Amino acid sequence: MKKIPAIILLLGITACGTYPVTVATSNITKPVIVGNVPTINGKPQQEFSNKEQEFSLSAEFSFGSLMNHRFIKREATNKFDVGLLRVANGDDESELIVIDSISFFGKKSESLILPFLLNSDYTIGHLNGAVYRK
Amino acid sequence: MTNNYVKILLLLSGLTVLTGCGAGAWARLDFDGVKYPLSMSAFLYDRDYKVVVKGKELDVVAQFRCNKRFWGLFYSLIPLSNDKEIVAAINREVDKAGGDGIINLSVTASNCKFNSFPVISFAPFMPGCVDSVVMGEIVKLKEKAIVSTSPTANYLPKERIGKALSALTSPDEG
Repeated sequence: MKKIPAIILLLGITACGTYPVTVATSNITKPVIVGNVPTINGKPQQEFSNKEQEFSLSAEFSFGSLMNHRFIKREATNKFDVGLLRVANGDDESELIVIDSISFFGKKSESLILPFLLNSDYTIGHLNGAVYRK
Repeated sequence: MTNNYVKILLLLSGLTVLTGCGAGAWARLDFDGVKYPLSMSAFLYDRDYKVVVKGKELDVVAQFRCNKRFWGLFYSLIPLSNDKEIVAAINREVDKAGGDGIINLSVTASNCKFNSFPVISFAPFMPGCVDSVVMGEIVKLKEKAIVSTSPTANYLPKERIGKALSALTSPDEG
């Protein structure tokens, strides 16, 4: 009975600090276009006119001061990589991956008692995009 | 005594968990208005949708980094900032470096210290914020790659075509 609130309290106390989330990719071997300029010199996207699949990927972090920035960064990148590898069809050149938007969210919540100790930190990174085909 | 201890722990843990409202912000980057292609990987498309890669067809000419703080009100529900500064910075820096685009684009977001004001951050009118760092590598397409990928680049110039034709029709030849 005593253990549960004690664990929750401990989680609250260890939540001090800020935990960044990085929206990035590292293992994708094809262009992952962000925004509406797909090519060098800005050729319109008319060659890839068929929207095949929309996707939405996110990575979030809250609580846990035991995780350092480096670990979190790697974790987030891996998460986006895994998601993109799932939607991308290998090195298929007939498809175009476009990220429409990157959004993120950061929030800190505090307890009214011991506000410097009992707070939580919450960061989320989000990718919205689509796969187009010729 | 034990009961009191449990009650205090429950109260504290409850307050810890039930602190869903606090200062913060969210941001959305659409990159509307960028003049250059951006890629989150080390690859880009040239003008003919041929894949070009860093180290082969693309040279890194500069690093891009832009810090931006986004603000929000009412526990982050109302955004007060947009990505126009980032878009302007991208266009300006790529122009300045003489680049053709940006690869390895990444966005790092973290809470800003402003959200840590005790007690006050519970007030819905208290603005909250999120810090972001947009990073990438500004790249330029190698001259050789431009020649080989342009559909008209391998055509002979008019004067050379003229010379070649006259050589073929010349009676002195063969």
